[in-house]
Amino acid sequence: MCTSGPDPTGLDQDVVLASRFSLGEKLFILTLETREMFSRVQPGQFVLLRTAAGLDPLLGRPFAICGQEGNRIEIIVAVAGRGTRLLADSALGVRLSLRGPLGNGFPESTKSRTHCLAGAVGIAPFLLARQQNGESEIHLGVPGQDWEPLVNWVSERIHGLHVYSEDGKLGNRGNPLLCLDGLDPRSDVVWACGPTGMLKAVSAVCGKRQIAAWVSLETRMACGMGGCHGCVVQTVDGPKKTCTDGPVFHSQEVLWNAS
Amino acid sequence: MPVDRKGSEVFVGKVALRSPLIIASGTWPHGPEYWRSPVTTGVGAACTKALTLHPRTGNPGIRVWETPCGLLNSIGLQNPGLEQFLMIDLPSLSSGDVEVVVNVAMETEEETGKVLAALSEKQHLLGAVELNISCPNVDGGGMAWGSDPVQAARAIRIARGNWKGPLWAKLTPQCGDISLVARAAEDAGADALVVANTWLGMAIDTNSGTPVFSRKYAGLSGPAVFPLSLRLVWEVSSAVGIPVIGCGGVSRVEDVLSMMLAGASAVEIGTFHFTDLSCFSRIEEGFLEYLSVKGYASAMELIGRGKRKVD
Repeated sequence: MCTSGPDPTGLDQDVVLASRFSLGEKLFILTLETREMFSRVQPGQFVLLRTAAGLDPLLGRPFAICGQEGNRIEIIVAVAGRGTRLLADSALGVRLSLRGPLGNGFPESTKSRTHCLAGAVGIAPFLLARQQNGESEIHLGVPGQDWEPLVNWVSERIHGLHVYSEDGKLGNRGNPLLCLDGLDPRSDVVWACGPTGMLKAVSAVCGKRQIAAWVSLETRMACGMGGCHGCVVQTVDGPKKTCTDGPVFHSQEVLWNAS
Repeated sequence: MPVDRKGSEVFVGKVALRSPLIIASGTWPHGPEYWRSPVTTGVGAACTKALTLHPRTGNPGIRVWETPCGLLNSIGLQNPGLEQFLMIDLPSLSSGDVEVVVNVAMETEEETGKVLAALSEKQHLLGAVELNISCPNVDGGGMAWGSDPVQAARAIRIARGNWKGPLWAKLTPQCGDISLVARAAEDAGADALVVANTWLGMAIDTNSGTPVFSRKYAGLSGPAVFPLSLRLVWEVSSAVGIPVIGCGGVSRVEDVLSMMLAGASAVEIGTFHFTDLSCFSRIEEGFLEYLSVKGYASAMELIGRGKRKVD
């Protein structure tokens, strides 16, 4: 028989938009007040969030949780379309529909040092990781100077943040993969979250150097609870659901070139 | 105060359901915690994901795409196959507190026969079999079986020959005249008809300039299709004598009432619970309140009542 999981009735709840902090026209930090307090969220776990009123948009949008305090959680909303725009523009105090926390986060490691590689808003799970445990080294890569507000906001929360930009105008020129050169497979583990191209590159380098690496994937998603199989990713063990088997996978488990 | 839910019991042929609300196939996790209270409050039965003889990995590429008030999907019947289903899934699902309806995807005569013969050995664990002759997202079989009366009748006869329990046929909107398909399915031995599966649609990614889905077309579900499904329920329930189960876009108690007034004995809900797991409990409570306010002694009195003044 299948192993029974926790009661799913608590997954859905209305939350209140408690605060919004703008990092530009298309980037916002939202604080959500939950009715039911989440148990300790693992870095990499996410929520599906939608406007409570109406049927369009129909589906929740996935956001990694970047902060948790009491019955408040924080997410980073990058406006990518109508659904995220509606969420970002919601009035303070309005109710939003939340499903979560969902998925499996980054696994605790027995290795001595964790190196977190983030591509832009992929920083979200590592903000939570740092909040829970100050040990990890965090590397944030952004395309260019336009991302300065995000870099500044993250820098205030993560002391010792390593910053990279393609044009070299923020931090080091290049991207967070540069840090992989100095890692020791015996003592270091990598967590990565960001665009698929970056995760694929992390997987290639870490595979070659036998560094243990875990990546957080993002796919189109509908139910978030393993019912619809709409968010599968191809792995060496066959198709797996990003929502419940992931979103965090071992980098060598993912078949990066499969469609 | 606890809700007295007894009044919402319905019968689909010989199958008694404590509520007319059924979870539609392909939408509900197979974890045992999803097949028992409290999440099943308000649920009369739940359909499994489509089952095939052999494991299927499903379709490549993008599988879901949101549309205004709707959802296109091209999952492709991903499932672990009969052997794992019998060994792992079914014991868990049937240990819960809702009727288990096994959705069997119609493949070849031989494959479907084997699946149903194996399920017959477990009939005591099942409320019904829902024969899926309507999947729009696979080649060879699927929707092709339900697209004309001759093929539909053949599929039902194959199933009837291998499965003696309650047999529901899930029809497709993609057919010429659904009344003809429905009558053919009834004549071939179906005990009830599920009306209907998803509506064939498509999406184009304007950035890439190409179709979103690898199979180009995909099945549309969600509130957007409700009026279309309601019309089919009215049409089919007018054409056959066996029970009809409404399916397509249900999101509110008014939709359930409309389906039943149009002739449905029960109603499936799929896409909408992606946004709200408590919808079954909430809709059932609204349903019971309606029965009480309107003075109905039981939910069965509602079935087809909308036709009395019209037909």
